[in-house]
Amino acid sequence: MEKFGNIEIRVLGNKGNLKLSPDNYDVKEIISMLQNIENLLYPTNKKDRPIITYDIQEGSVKHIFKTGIQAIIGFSAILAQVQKTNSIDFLELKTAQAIENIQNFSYQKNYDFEIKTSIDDELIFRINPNSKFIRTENIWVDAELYFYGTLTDAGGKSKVNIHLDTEEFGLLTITTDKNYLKEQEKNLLYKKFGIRAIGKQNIETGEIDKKSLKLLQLIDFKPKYDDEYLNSLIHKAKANWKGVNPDEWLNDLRGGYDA
Amino acid sequence: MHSVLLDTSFFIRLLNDEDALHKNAKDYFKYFLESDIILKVSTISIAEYCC
Repeated sequence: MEKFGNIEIRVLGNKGNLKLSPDNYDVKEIISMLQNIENLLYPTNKKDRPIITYDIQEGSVKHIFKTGIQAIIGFSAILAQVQKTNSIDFLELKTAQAIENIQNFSYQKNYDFEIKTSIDDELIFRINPNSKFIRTENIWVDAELYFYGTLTDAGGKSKVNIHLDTEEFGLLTITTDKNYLKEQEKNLLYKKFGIRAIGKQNIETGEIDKKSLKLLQLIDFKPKYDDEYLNSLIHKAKANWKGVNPDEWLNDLRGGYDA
Repeated sequence: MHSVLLDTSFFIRLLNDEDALHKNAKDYFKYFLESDIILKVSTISIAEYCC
């Protein structure tokens, strides 16, 4: 079996009175398609992904992408499932967004898109101004979220944000209010923080839309052991637990249910 | 080890220096922080502790 396979994205439409062809297809439209293809093929593993090569051909316009056969097989199965269910809600966020981008492009430019792979010539996935490959919005809800990590950047002229390097989610870009940063008196960079943020979360999978994050509050977070501070907390708390046997107390509270 | 889930009895023992297992809890707490192990706590434990 071949080690490489193809994806063909054919675009049909008009530019004014002219049929679409590589001669009148703007470079911005090519860039937009190139940005989508990585998310379609490798939504979670961009760093170590196999190479993707590109060619543009006549007919009206054909974008040809060549990459490892494994990704093509996976993508072909995704296309078949989207076609069958007529929904993109089950897809990972980045893949769903890439299909949505193509759908929006179709609405804006009145283009028809035909997507097929070298795995199955007969399976042609069509996106056109009459299709509705848009996520059902109600599965993405606002959620209050907490992240912990090192703040590596803060500021920006028009798009003000902070960058937080986290172990769990990688590097997060969180939209921030300019005045909130202006009011911070100490240097924030390269210090550990907890972040209280609001963002969109998928109620079915728990997935977070990382592009939707907005800062609510920076939480002073010092994960260093401080004996003096801990002793002061013990001093305040111990009176409440005088003479309490934790095992018996919890057993009574839980009614014999062992968590 | 990447992270640990702390149960209610851990907090009771950590915050009462007269508890027989207080030193164990404190030593574990120190070890987790110094080893960059993420400490997690459930809302159920917080509710139980605040009862």
